[in-house]
Amino acid sequence: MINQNFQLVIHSNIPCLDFFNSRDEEKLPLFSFTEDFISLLMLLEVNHFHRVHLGIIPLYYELINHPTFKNEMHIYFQEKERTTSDTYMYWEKYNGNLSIPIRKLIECEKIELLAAPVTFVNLPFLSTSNGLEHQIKTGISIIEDFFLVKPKGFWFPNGSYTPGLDLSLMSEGIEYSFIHHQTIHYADPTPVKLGRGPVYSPHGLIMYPIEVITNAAEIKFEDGESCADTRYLCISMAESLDNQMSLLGKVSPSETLSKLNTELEKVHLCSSFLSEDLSGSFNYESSPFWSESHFIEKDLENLKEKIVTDNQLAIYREMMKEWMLLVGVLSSKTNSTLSLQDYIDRYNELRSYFIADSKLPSGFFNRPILENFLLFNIFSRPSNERQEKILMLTWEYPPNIVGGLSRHVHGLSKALSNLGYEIHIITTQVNDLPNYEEDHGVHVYRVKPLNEKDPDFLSWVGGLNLSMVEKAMELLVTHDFKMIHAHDWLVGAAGLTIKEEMNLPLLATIHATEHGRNDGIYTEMQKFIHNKERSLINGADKVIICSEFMREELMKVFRVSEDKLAMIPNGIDESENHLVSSDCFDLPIDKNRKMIFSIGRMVKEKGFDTLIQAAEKMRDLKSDVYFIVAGKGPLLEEYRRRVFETRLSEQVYFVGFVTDEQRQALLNYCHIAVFPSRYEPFGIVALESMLYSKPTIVSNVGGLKGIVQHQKTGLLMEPDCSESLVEQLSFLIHNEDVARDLGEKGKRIVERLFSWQRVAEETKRVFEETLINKSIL
Amino acid sequence: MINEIIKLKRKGLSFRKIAEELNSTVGKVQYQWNKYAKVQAPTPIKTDFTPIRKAKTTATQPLTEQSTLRREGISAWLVSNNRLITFWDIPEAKKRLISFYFDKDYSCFLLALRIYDVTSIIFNGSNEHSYVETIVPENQKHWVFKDLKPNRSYCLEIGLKITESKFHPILRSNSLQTPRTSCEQVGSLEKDIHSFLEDTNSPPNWIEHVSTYSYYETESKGGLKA
Repeated sequence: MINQNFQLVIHSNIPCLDFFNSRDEEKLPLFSFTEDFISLLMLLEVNHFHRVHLGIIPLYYELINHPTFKNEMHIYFQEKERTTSDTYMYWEKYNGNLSIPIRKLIECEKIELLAAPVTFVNLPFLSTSNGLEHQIKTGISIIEDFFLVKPKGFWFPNGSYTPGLDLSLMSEGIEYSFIHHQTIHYADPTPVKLGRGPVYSPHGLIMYPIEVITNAAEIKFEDGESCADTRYLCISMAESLDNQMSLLGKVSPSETLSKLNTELEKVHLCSSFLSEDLSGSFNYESSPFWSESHFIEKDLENLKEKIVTDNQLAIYREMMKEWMLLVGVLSSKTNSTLSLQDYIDRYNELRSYFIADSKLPSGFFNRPILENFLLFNIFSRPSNERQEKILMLTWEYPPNIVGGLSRHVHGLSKALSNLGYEIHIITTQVNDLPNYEEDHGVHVYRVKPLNEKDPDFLSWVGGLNLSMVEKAMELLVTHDFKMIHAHDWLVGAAGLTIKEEMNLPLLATIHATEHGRNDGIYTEMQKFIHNKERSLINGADKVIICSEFMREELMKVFRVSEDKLAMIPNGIDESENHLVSSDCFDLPIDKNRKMIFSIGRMVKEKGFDTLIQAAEKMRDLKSDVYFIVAGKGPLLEEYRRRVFETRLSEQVYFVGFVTDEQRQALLNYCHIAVFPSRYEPFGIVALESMLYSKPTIVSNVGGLKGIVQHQKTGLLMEPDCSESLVEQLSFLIHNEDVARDLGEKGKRIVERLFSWQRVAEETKRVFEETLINKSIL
Repeated sequence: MINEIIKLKRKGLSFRKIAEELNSTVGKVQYQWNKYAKVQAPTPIKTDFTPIRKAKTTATQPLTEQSTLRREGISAWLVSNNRLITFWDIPEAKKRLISFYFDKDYSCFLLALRIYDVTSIIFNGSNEHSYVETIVPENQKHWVFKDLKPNRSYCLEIGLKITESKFHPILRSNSLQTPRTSCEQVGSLEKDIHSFLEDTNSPPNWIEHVSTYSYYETESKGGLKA
């Protein structure tokens, strides 16, 4: 019965505090702990006990080496009139350098120091890798610095463990730790030895099953075979020395814990605690500090990307220190909210120097604690940022394409990036697309609403906007955006909120309106959307629309003043134009004759009557051509009748409405395109035919004549003059080389004028204008 | 109030001291200050491609947007085998967005906290096994849930009651698994354990500390697998 083996861990929850800025009564527990600690060292030194493991706050090892502490400890002995005690003698013997006896005990294998988080925080309560890494690595490095040993074992304060922490410890070279024996007992799958033997955690950390003991008399001996198993006990240093001593007497020769001969089972271990309940450290008073320290930890994670200068790096180190102390003090059961607030205030003060990258004033108070503390994996990154950053919001972005918006934002952002802007786009997450992508200076972040399955579309959009704001606020910590650019009402709420929150100018592009889509506002949903459009238009500093038509609509429906609007025609994406397979379309295409194509609304100003007259003359000239005219309108039947009456049914086809695919097929097949308008403010269709490299004849009116330079990029005709049209047509038919050349040159001019690059240049102008207005106001 | 705060801040007092001085709370003082600081913040000026030289400000000058710590999120921590604590902070921006979007003052909505049982599922906001909803006071910022079942996974959402029946989430917490408390609960992870042991290059299927996922992210970015 008696030959059972024992291993012992002695641990302590002495409070974490900034010794140098604490009141005397706060320091008292440290002094009395030091007395106990000395007693333990004495005990180990003189008796032939076997090795014990020590799990205490690493910060303490630094403290006992500090002259100020030694001094005050000395005074403590005197004031308490302990100068005749054994502990004082021992203290004097080593001149107050407790590291010396500790180092000796390590050498003669009587003590093994366990690593721990530097300020003894409950590790599961940390929320960033950065915070976790600094707590663990700093704890390890203190032991390495003062005792020249590399700890292999780790002690979880309060035994608090959560899955995944094993991985963090393994990455730091830790080999083993301890966990409540019940957690091993209930591991998945159930270990053969139940809770009586060590196991591997999923990531490969050896975990010993530990029992909490307060008194040697508590140990129950087990019968039978299991007697051969080693048992792992832990006792708090706060227990009386007698208890510790009787336990120490039972400890057996130490196996080197990490070197086990037998292969261990690998099992899933749950979250675990040694003490019953940690909720004691949460109360109404302390919970705001817990959340503050949580946000500070996240802040540190974000800010590490923002370190540009060495000055910032130095300040960051101080900020990290404040956080480590704050969270350590919080984890100590005795915390005064007073000192907690000081850590937070100081953090925020340091932070403002960090953001401004200004030097700390020479008299700036420095904590003489964690002096050798290093930052891990954190560097200053000299910034070569020359680019202005724009934050774009759009609910669709390729490869997610719902409507035209997606292509528009894609074309625009690529072109803006070529102009030297850095574009950050927040859009919707669908189909497991990556949450973040970067493509030639365009950064795409995808988010989804928390209520992603909400059947109510408007609620879903609300959720999407919340997620977009969250992402934007996150980005704003590390990016200085110059401008927000929101596309359509779907992202309007987010755009307006960020504008207000961050005092940034907001640009909105309105691609279409609910009023226009439905020819009025009738339902509740339409009303809701209509109102959102109104707020976005009113709240934006400048509104971009893509056509004259939209300009008029916005001025009419929303009464927007004209100077708030900027018209930037859409870019034309040539790649969209080569997707045509034409044979399947039910159109009167005749491959043996040359097709002359036109398209437009069947109204007088489009001049299709001129075209019919010209067709008649062409027939008389026995020209081998035919006309296809697409489009509908009030005059369609009239034109068809006229074709019939003039016996042109074989030469002219008014085919009525055509789909996009049919239009593209016709543009692809035709030899010549004609736009004989009497009035034409813009004439985007002519651009399209030119983009297909078709020689194009347009009337010398309105917007068209600005695009087509006669005999360079196309041909001009006199409006309302069929002779002029016949003349130009005949020229093209009889000069095929010239015709081809005109087509190519036409294409080039359109690509240049209506490319996304041009759109981006105009958008840039709007950006700059908006920024200037904003700074004047 | 803001004038007093500015005066005291110029004297170099901390928010806590100012709050004491004015017989107010730190939160209120900080809110007022941030509001003031925002108005004072220099407006961005048009530049060419060179960035604006950051003015060498001292800490006592009005803070810009980035100078304020970002407080946003909801976290859940296990504090014992069957108890968790959660705390949250809803940023002003989200409150404004909600009241703008739903066209109603934020204080009109009831604040609700939901705890979802999400054991063995990838939660998408509506596929939970069950949930419990609690209406919490508007300025409440933390809550304790007791008597959780063993070996279950939970996550929480804080949100608003848009209508009596409609809950709109604002923030979602991390997920937690409560510890097993008996050998009968063992076995539910069998498949996941097996597949993790087969391929330790990707994070396991059960809930782990957040650091695990960033570990695997950096590993794969570093191209270690290649």
